[in-house]
Amino acid sequence: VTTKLDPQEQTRDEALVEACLKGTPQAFDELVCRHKDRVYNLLVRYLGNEQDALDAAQEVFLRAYRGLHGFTGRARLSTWLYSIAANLASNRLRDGHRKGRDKGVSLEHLLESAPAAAGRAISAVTNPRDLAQKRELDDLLQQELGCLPDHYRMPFILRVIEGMSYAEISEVLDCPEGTVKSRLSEARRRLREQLVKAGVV
Amino acid sequence: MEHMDCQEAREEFGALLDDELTVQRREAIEAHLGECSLCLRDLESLQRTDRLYQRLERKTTPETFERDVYDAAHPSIFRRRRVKRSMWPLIAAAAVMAVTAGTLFTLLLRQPNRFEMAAAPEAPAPQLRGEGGEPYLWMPFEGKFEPIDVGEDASVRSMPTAVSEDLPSAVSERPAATDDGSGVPEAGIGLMSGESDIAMAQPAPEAQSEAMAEAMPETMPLTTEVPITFERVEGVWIQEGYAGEPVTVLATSADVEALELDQPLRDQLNALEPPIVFVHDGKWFRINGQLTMDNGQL
Repeated sequence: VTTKLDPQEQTRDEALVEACLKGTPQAFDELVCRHKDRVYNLLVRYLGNEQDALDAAQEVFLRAYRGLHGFTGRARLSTWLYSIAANLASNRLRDGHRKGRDKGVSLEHLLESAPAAAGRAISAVTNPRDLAQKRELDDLLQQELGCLPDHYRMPFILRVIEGMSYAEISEVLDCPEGTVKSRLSEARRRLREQLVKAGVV
Repeated sequence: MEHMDCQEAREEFGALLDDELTVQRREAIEAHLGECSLCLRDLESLQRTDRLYQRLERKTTPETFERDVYDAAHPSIFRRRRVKRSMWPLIAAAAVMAVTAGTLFTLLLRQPNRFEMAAAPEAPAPQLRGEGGEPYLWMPFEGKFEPIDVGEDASVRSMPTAVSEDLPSAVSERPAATDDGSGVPEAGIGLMSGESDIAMAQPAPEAQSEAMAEAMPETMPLTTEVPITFERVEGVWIQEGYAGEPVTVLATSADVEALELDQPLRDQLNALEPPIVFVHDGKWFRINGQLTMDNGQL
């Protein structure tokens, strides 16, 4: 799954930013429309619940709207939006703004608290055709993702779920590519161990 | 060719999966993998992990997203719209739920076929479209509401909702009463035309009634309706028979949480959650839906 924007898309983004700055309100509308779902999906996966993610996604575009004059075009718009989202999300977690659902729980916790659900989550793998089971598998994957430390989780989502390159991730997270690479490597190994324990891999 | 041992190769597996290696490095790893089945298995399990996450369902924003952002970005309108768009569904939800608790809801639960009355095919819910068929992204503000201080906590920014024009009389029609002794007179249901009806049906806390009176002018200026489908709303699943039916959602369980109600009333409402209250074809309904994993139905 790669969701990279092609050059044409990028050109369109640039044109829209310019139109926004010239005072065409519909242009920002289109910008939101073009990027909202990617930003939202990233936030859902990072924050672990849809309500917080929706709230954060709105805030991302609000900040983008207010900060558009400061967006010089040195970065791609999508990268810029992602970096706003990443910062916002990580600050919210740090400041404990998170409400709604609890942090992800490991399968061990699940086994203790709800053995039947854990059993179904495991058996979902053997018969993934069923929609409900697919949903349970998704929930399990999300939970395990939520168990990763924040600084491993974000690069993993940006790379594996959002399909960004190391260079882009490095820009979004404002860290060297080498750091991106090593965090990704660690994130994958940890997740793999968790999923092996859960019987999914 | 570069020679690699297991440790060196495994350190590069991530970059290999991500296609971020030079040709030389990749070839060196591939050579190693040809000789080392343990490393090959290690790589395959990492790859399976990636694939599982790549197949995760992609989440999408609700249809009201752009409008919500727009509202938030335009403070003067935002303030006024917020009052309307947040208070109305809350008030509506409170009033409906307070009155229908144990009556309409019980009735519907006992007689699930009653829901079908709402699906009148000749009167579909209005779509949010312009004359040229283009979707509206923003709705212009044309109302006359004076801002009322509802406080930050009472607003629900992500409300996927709007309120229809005929709201005040919306509840006057309901599924016919059964004779099984659910025993609530018709008058108890015919609310929403004013404070007194509500008070008659269910003594609400006084502050609540005042807020309602203040927030409900004679005419309702906001007339947008947001079509949704019955597949999934805010994580709550709804009964199978309604798949694809357009409805107007008025409130979800999150709204109940946001209401600053007296505790007994709040408890009463919470006991009914997760509710979805909506209007369809001029009638009010609420659904108590929870996904049971066994069959995906209520």
